[in-house]
Amino acid sequence: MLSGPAVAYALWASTGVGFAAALVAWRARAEPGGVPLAAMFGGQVVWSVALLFQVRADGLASKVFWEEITWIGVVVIPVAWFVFAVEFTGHDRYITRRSVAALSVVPVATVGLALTSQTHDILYAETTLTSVRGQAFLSREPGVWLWVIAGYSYVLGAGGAVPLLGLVQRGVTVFRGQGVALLVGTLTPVASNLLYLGGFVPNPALDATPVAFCVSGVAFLLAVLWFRLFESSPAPCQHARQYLLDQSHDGFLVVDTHDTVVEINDAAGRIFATDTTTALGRPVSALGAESSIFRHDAEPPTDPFRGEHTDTTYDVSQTRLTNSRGRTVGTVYLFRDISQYIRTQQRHQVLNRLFRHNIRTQTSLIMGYADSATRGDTAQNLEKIRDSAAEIEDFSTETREILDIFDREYASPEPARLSAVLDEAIAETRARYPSVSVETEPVPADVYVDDSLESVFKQILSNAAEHVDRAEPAVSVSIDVDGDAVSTRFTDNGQGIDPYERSVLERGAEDPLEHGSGLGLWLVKWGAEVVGGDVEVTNSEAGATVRVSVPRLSNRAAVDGESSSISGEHGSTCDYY
Amino acid sequence: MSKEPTTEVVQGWIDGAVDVLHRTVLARAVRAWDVFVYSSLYITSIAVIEGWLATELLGLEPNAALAIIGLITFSVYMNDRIADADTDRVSNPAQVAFVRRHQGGLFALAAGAYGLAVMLGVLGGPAALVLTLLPGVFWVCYALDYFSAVTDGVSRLKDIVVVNTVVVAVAWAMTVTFLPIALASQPVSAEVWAVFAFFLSRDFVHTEVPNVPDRFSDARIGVDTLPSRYGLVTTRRALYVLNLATLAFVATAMSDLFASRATTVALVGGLCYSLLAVGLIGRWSREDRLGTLSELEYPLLFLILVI
Repeated sequence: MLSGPAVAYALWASTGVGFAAALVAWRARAEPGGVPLAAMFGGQVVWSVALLFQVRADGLASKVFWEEITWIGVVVIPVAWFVFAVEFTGHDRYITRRSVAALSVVPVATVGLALTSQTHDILYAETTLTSVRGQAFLSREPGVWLWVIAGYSYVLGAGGAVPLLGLVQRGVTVFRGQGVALLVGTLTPVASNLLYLGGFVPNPALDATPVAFCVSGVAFLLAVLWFRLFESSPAPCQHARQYLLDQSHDGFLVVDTHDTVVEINDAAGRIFATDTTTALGRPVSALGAESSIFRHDAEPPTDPFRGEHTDTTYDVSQTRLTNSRGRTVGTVYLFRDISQYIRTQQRHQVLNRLFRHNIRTQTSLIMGYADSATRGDTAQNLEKIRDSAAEIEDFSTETREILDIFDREYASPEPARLSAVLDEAIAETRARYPSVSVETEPVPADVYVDDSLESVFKQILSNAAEHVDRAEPAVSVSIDVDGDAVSTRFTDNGQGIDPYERSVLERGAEDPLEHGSGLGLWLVKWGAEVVGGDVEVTNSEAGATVRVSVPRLSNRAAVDGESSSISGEHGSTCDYY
Repeated sequence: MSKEPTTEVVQGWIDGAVDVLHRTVLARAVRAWDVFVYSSLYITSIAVIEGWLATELLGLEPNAALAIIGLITFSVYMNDRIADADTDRVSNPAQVAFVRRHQGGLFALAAGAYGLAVMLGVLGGPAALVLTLLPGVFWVCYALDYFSAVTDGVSRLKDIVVVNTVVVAVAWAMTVTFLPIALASQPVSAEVWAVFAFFLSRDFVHTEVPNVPDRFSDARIGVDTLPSRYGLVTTRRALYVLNLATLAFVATAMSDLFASRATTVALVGGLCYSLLAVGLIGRWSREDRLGTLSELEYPLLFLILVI
């Protein structure tokens, strides 16, 4: 049976505890930190067993042999500990084969020096046998490399403790418990080793650090049982934060007190048309001319922000970041896309004007004509009443068309041949206004656009037919295809569109004092915007020109569309028969 | 006024008593046996008996090796059952249900058991420690995809026909043969190798026979065994050949090694029993009992040698 000092029994016990702990960790090898933790306890078992055999061995050569073997276990522990702490706390992107290989260079060199320690004095300067209470122990004077590996191990130990300290500071009890248990499990062997290196142990010839790993094993097992070490891992938290930051539709920009960009997500990168990795670490002024309003001490923005690189409008909120002592350490700017909100607001303004002004005006006229009709001249007043009623009906039809267009905003595009869309609009216009003449350039057959443009084209042609004050109103249509964009240009022979109407349209908003006369131009503008395009209105001596630019769609989608397929909201396909 | 009990009444009492006995004692006994089997204690007992047989054949006094063998067997088989819970769902649902219900506690026991085995192995020195670790290392190599990870062309050992059984048989035969030797600090002689060969043959048979009821689930997950690859008839014949070859080996080579003729007779008796058990492959509907029947060779040998 085993004989010798009490420490040998303790080493013996630590072998069993360490092995069981390694098995428990190995079982959780699929979890973050499972494999390195198993390796750490594996290293401890090798250390304990080799040290035990060293204590029991007779003779210098035999003891030296087992002492050298201990190094295989000793050097595994700090590397495995560091990798475990980094992986477990969710920073595993730093743990690659290359980084682990780099971390292992010093340990591997140490094992090489240990296995050849009899031929040099780099690791040990001198090796002798010493007697403690009648038992022979190995006494070795440290060489230079011993301090190198000791320092390296302590650096890795401290490096691993840093992210775990972060766990202790967490508000989540289970993570805090995990962090405390793991730190206790780490600090105990560290303290034991420091006492040995400082010569404060009863037997200075024996490093009993592996025995302290009994405490580590017990602490680790408690962390598994009480704090569900591998069942409630904090690893996803780090990834989730990064994911939310990267994938958010809102832009995040963080500047420190020196106005250096310290965090910027992809959405903010798009706002400033910059690569996020390029922007990080550079002054905020490098983001562009308008970026000066995003200094750390700038006043909170009051107006919506519309960057020079995007058509999107953002509401910008500003939050000062303070440290635990209340001192400002940076400023966070959050860019929330409010383009949709503004568009909706504009539509409400126009529709409100329609009901409040146009319909009320027509209703007042009807009431006035009705009063006149009761006093005589019935036929003429009834004719006017009918005209006003027809006007209201036109408003109603246009409103219905506009609402249909709005419904298309979140629907999948429905590609149709541009030639077919245009022919349909022209045919309907000719039927309604026989006097109007429409000339069209040949339209390429392989050009597809969203079929809702038909309403837009009909409205443009109707406007020309109604408002051109010539006996023979004429409209010429030309097509310009440029890559993925299609421009359709309508030029009439009239007097041009009222600059006032154009200015309201270009501004994109109305108010009670400044508004258009009808809904036609709004229908054109919104109809183009809903399919991702825009509208430009110009006047010339020849007449008015309305250019509708929209994205060119894939014809494959059109072929699919012929069987009436649309995408459902979860990406599934619903067939309509 | 008393009334004499009629025959029907007495019969009712007897039936009631039998029913109570059946529902209490027998049901508990069956449940206890199930726990004994599902928790790997049954296979652990078989392994300890095998270890005892090895010490007997090697002419040694029983030592800590028996405890180590028992602890390792419990740990490895328990881990295996936990790891294979998904694949065993069809072939052994009751065992899987038991393992899943007590998974945490069983794994803790299995880990502690191997830790204790390592502690005992350390007492025997480096050779005993290596032999203690051997079944665990073989199990990991056997069950996990390590070799495939290193070399794409090499399948998981568990998936290669015959090799998978040889790996298991070698691990156990080495442990039961050499561990008692290492703990007794005895040299490895020719007799030791003969005992190793004997147990290698026995463990091969005892590993391959339980593959019979598992052949369909093994085939589904791509594990090649003799029954899943070549069918029951070929398996039976192959195991016949191995048993007969072992019989010849025991009757000729090994009989000279043992001082007692009774030992040789016992081994021959055990092998004849194994021939009978193997003969039931493909001929007995209770395939799930074949493995147990085959493993009873060791308790039988134990009884013969003790008597």
